[in-house]
Amino acid sequence: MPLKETALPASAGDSHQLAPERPDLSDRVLIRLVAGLCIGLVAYLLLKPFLPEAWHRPGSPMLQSAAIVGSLMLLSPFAFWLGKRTGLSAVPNRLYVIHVIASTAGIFLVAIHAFAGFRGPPLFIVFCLVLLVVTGFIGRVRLSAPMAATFGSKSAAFRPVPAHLKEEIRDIIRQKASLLQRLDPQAQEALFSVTLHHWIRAPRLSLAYQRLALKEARLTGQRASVPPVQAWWRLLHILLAWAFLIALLTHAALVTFLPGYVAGDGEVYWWHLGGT
Amino acid sequence: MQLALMIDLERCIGCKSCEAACKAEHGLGPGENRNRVVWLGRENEPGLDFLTLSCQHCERPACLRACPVHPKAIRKDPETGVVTVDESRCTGCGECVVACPYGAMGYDPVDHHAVKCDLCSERRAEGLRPACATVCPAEAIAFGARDDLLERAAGEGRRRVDHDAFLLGPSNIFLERLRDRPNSTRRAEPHAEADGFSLAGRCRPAVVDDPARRAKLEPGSVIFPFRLKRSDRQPDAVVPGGCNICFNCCPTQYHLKDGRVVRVTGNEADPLWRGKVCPKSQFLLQLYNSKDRLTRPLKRMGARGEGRFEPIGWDQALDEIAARLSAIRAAHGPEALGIFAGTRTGTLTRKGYIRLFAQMWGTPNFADTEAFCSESKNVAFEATVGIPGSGNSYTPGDLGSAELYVYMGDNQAESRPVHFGMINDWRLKNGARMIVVDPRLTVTASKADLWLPIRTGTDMALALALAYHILDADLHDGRFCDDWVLGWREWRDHILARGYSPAWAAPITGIEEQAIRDLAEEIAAADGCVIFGARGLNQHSNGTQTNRTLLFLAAITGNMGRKGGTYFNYGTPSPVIANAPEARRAAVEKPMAATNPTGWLDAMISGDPYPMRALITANNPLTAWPNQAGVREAFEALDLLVHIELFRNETSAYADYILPAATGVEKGEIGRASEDRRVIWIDKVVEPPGKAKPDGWIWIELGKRFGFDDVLKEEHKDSGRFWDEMCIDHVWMRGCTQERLHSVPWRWVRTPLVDEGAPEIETLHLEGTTATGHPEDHRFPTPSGKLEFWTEALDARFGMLGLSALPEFYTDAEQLVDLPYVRPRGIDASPVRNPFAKGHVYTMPVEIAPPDGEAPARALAAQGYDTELITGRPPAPHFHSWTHYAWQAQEMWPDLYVQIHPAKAKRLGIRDGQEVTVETVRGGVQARAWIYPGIREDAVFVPIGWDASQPFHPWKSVNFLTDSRQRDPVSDHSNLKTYLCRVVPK
Ligand code: HEM
Ligand code: SF4
Repeated sequence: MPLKETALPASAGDSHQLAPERPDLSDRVLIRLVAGLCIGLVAYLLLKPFLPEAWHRPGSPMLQSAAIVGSLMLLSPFAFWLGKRTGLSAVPNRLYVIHVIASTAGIFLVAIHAFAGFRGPPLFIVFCLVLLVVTGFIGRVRLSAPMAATFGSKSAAFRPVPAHLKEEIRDIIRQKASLLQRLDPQAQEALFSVTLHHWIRAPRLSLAYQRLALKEARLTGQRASVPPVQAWWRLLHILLAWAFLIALLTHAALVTFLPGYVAGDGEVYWWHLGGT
Repeated sequence: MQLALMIDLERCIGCKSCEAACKAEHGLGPGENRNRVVWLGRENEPGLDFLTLSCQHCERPACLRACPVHPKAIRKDPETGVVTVDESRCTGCGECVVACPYGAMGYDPVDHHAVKCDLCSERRAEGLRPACATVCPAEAIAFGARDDLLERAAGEGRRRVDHDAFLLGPSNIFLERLRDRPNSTRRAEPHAEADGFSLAGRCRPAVVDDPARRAKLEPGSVIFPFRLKRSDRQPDAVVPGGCNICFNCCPTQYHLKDGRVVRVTGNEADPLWRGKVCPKSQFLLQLYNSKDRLTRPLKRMGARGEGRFEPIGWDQALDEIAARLSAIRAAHGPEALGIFAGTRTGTLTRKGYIRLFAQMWGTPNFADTEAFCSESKNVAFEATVGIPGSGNSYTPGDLGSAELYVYMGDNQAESRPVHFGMINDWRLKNGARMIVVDPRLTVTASKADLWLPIRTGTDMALALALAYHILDADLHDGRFCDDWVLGWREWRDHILARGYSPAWAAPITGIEEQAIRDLAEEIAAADGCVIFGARGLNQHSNGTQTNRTLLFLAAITGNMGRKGGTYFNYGTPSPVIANAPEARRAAVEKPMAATNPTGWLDAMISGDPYPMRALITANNPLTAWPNQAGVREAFEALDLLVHIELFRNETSAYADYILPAATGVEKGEIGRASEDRRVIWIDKVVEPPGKAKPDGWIWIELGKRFGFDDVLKEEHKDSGRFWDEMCIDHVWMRGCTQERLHSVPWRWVRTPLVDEGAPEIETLHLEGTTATGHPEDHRFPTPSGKLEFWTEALDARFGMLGLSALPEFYTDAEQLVDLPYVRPRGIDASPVRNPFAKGHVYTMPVEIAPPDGEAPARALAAQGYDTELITGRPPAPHFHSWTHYAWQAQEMWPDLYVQIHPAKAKRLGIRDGQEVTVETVRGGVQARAWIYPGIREDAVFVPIGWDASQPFHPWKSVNFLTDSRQRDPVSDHSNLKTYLCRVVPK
């Protein structure tokens, strides 16, 4: 008696949003991208001895241009950082995709610049970049499965807790609520976290609030509830990003404005603005 | 209004149906969870609990506050309080996963974003309940406004679990267990104060949901329609039908889109089921759409077992098979063909198409799985009650009205979860008690008021001792006995004379004498006691006598032929029987080689009692039959092996031809032999994959090649027509027509139905009624109209086999303690015709042997086999091999495991999850250890269903450890439950 029943709606509605509206890089694409970067760099190193002089001088017009373009591309992660925190992007993952692709390309360009003169403090920048790729790659490709497997793996909330713990948390909530009256009177403590907007408008209050939030997270054992790599990789990745940015800006400022200091006894042969 | 789920820990049976429903509803793939049922054992004492975790929709959601995106990707709805994630705003950073202290934030490891429970927003928009709450077999998940749920809990006097350790204000409610933990010595009081619930002292078995094993499920295993957009999974029609996996025969709905099944759900129109189903029916989706299905006939190219095949057409396959069968018949006679078809093939196939084929071909050697599942109880019930099962039903007025439920060897919560959910619900609503007798703290036992951990194979001793105490203390229902039982006095005198007292049974069963007395008194005093028995009793060499003893026990306490009381051993199959006209049946000259198909092995290997040269088999004998080494030797020796199945399995590798079959909605059939006489009809609504064909089609086409098509007609390929025309010509079945079946939206009716207009009968054999098709006043369908314990005729039948109609205690041969067992009479004895067998079959008479120096158990013990091996069914998401092709079942329970008591594990230096070898004298298998205090210290448990050729997690079948010769002398049922083994760490 096939198909003569009235079609009941099984669970109609199409508001559930799955991947297509949200661009992403699959693990496979990421692996290819990072492998491509590594292969590209090795190929470049193998080819390098046979390349003309300009390719052996980091400040040569070509390699300095590469470094500038690469550095600009490497700023894309900060656009991601900003986009995520300002509501400027409706689908922030678009910026995530851009940050990975652009920074991978940027790393290649910065690397060929760096390979020409692989020494001194700027090595720190390279070091950061290597670690950024490693942490980013691990965070996504290796840690996605453990992240999924975290579901149902925690037990602390169902165990007895020391009596003072609840009191301490209650106290934090009280403090947060009272801070919030000054920081953002419209907001509810239950749903509030400090945003970029708050940081800019009221940095001291924001800092105070953030410290309380971190204390609460520590008391509730948030980061301790998952394996350490899962708990800390992203923080490390972001710290490295800021370290990179600071190092990059310092390097750019020095070669531009204090080229003589950078060159030491050597020749200042690159574009610069400052004197020696 | 804050919405919430309320989860009752007293009801949850850990079946994971809610997980299956959630994944199907939201199209989630492996590793992706919006909910999960966490199994929790106890570290140092028997105990089992289940925690159904999903988002708690907290007042102060830690996940939301941790989300670094602005505006947040996670929000809490101001009206409903539901916390949702906007996947398009999520960047997959995982901070919410870290932050949620309940571990209730899911993550999509493929598309890298958070996934979480939103209490099924799309369903709510349609006015439907969340999927998990709809399917839950145990009604453990309630959905509603939190305040209403709290009020309900308070009204029921239930206590809530305090799981707000961190002041997040979780909205979901967990109701504490009602009673104390089951314990072999301590008796829990019916309304004892709850003991609180905490995860302290509890542990998760490594073998459940092992994330490390999930790697195997990626990526090709995720099949249509999982991980598709909701709109691509939207059905264009929904058709009612039934689940054809287990005896629960649940009413289901098949959701179809473009001729494919996109979803299987419960049928909420059914007033009894109301949409409840276990995970297995939902996995049917993965069966219908599986990439592993057989789709073309295959012909063997290499050696047997090598697994090399070439695809051929149906005509070639059937022509060649027919030619080879004809040659075998010419050389060895029609009985040289054996046919084996298990319940996977469907009742219509076995009782219809194959039965007709076998009748016209003339072979007596056609067997199904009864001799591995329930033949011993069939024989016991038929001899005592007249039909092969109980006449009671899962209705509130019948089984739901008992005061006491006693489970013996029946792990109903895992084998028929929905029916258990009903019983547990009635128990809680009516304040009934539940007692479980089982060597393991099964899920069923974990819900009981009292668990009695019995030595495997000794239930008969317990039943005898219970009866002894009841009769000795004059607690029996004398009026019922006098009016409705033949031979009860003989039986009473017999057990009293034998001294089968509680004191006698205590050392045999391992249950304290006083506990036996208490149980006997409780059974006798209850106004309605249902004793459930199942495979744990049937699958022993004393299966028939154990079942009879329990039937007798129920009868003397007035618990037969009443509502709310019975001895219930599933199922009560409806008599679907197709018969060829007398003139078209070939003469069968030889007796059947054996009722139990493992009794055919000698016929295959050495031609004893006559050669069996061809076997057409469905299912998977090279996993399911005991004595795997022997079965392999026998199959190697065949001239022709034809395998009809859905998937390639270990048997396929030995076949000459593999024929791809169809199932369920691909062919149109009834569900299994239901527990309580329900016949559920499943329409054919989709086409089988590729060139696969319904079993009926295959038998009709094969029959054509022998000129059987005047009976097995072309038009009978329409299963509905075949049903009406050929299958219901029995007084019980005449009213069970297609029209009647289709007259109700839940597609089932309860037989007997003497005509299409006959009313269904809730409880058979009530006082004042006459059994269907029997003379007036024959309350029970026996020759006498009464229950028959002992009659001269019955005693003569048992006498032929060397036994007595008055059950004398014996057990399986391989026991750790000295106990009597059966062995064939001496070499001068000759086979006798088995008077209990359905067909014409001979068997060796036996004798009950004392446990003397010749006892095999002593020799095995001397060789270091120091542990009792118990086999049985795995947890609810698995069923035989069906579910091993569904990735989701593999995600839940990937590996073959062996439950070991911690004391034994410690002695052997075994860790939880470690791979070990279990060995009997017949062979060894590997399995992962599950260290479990809820098993007798001297026993281990290994489940069935794994096969070394399965796609995800292949493991060798436990039947490499079992023996084909240890069988019940009455029913020929295999002992699959008691063997001596040893455990060797790897
Ligand atoms: C192959 C290279 C890289 C991969 C696979 C990668 C991967 C990731 C992933 C998975 C995240 C977490 C997403 C999230 O927080 O929403 C992330 C965040 C971030 N990455 Fe990368 N990353 C890579 C390179 C870089 C580089 C070179 C930089 C800096 C120069 C960088 C800077 C950041 C920053 C600042 C964030 C934090 C975004 C936020 O929270 O707002 N990443 N990255
Ligand atoms: S497997 Fe059994 S319990 Fe589960 S849905 Fe099917 S019939 Fe019901």
